[in-house]
Amino acid sequence: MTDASSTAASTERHVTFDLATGQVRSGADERLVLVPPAALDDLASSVSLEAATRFARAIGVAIGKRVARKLGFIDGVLGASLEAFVSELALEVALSGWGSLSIERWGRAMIVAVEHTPVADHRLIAVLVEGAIETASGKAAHGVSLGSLGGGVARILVASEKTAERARGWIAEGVSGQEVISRLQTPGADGSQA
Amino acid sequence: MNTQERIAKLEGILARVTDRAKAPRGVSVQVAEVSSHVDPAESATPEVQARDARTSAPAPAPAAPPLTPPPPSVDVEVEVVDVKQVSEPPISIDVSSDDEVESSERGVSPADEPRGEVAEEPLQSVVPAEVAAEASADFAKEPERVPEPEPEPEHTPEPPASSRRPIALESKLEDLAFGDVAPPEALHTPPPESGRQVASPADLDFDSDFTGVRSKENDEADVEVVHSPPPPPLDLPTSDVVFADLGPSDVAAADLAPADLAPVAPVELARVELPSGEHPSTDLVSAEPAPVEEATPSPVESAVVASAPEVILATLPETPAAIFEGSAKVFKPATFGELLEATLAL
Repeated sequence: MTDASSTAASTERHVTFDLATGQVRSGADERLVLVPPAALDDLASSVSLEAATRFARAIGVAIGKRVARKLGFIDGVLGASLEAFVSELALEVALSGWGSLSIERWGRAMIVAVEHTPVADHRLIAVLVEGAIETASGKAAHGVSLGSLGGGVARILVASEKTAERARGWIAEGVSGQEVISRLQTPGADGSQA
Repeated sequence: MNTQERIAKLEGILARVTDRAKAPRGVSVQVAEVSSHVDPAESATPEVQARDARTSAPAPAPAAPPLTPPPPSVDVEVEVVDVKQVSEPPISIDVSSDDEVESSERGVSPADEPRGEVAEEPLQSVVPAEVAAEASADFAKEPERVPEPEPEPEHTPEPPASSRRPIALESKLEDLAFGDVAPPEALHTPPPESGRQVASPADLDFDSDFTGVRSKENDEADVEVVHSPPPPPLDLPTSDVVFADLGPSDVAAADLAPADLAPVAPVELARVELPSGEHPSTDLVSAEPAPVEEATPSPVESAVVASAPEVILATLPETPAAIFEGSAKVFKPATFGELLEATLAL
């Protein structure tokens, strides 16, 4: 006796390697390309930051579409529990080979932590997460890399555009990621508004 | 003691010995020694003489006494100790004379028996010949008894060191009984006397109905209540307040003051030092309790107030000073949309 959902999940193919045609397709019949991480680093270092950000953001958008399709698009994503959304998002990020994803809640701030990232520049990861969440939820979101915060884990703050700009300014000033989060929790801190 | 008396005693001894020899119980007598009184000149050999004495026991020996007259110069000294002592051990008489041929058979006497005085004296000079012959004939009837060989002392292992306790040498019983020897001290300390159960005397009489509580009737019958004379009226309000809590004083007097005891409460109260030389009240054993006066404080109360301060406690309001309304807001989003809105609102 097998469960229907488990049977569907097991029979669902997330990635299909079509050796006859030389294609790799996702579950949504979306074609994928396996790229070595070194090539991404070379691309990120050779092109401008804007070009690299657009490249990573495109990957995140693709991941967000797959998550939204699984959870029921925007309404389903917003109404889904944290555990369900994190599970679907982490699955798609892992299938793409961008690392292990989890979500941390520091007060009212949402922090996306990604381990085992293929690129050294965490700003690309921030743009990837930004594109995925924005595409899945339908709301404008911005990702700010807070640094590794220890342990080699890329922590990405998801915030509004205004707040993201403040956080980038604090990080440029040398403020640590924990201090940025603490300042965001305090209303009116540093002359800003929460 | 002259010779006649000694001879008479010896004859008496011989008569007793003869009677003892005839008795059924055995007496270790060595015939060879008796036969040695016979003149060696008439006997062929000592061995043959001894054999003849054993085998031909009923045959008398009449010729022996006249042939061996006692030498006149021999001084015989016989000590008569006790008949029993003489008759109990086996008789052994050693006769040694230069004129006699030494016999190869000798009587075996106990090793511990001392040899000496009597053995060196020739017996034939004391005992008459006919008596000796008769005695020898009687002794010859007795079967010869071979003394049992002394068993060899067994080799006992030496006791361990822990068991080698000093052995107290006891004095002889005669010395302990009649002599001046002090009795030996006890080796060990005797047990304490307190450990013994002392039996009650038979005529001890207990009050059978005594249980620790006596009825009041008996006390009233036995105890004479002594009332102190009423004190003279005093105007001083001295110790009335202190004694007022003791209750009716007549009950205390009946319970505490037995008939043979004088009331001690007034004496004890007299020792209390009171200010200004006032005399204490004797109302402790009086029949009526002392009246209590509330208005005027006593000197005792004044002393108590002076030693302990009066504590005044503050009266706090029962309502709390601070009021907590509501509860702290804890953000716990249930959906991803709530968390996204919260983080975008920062």
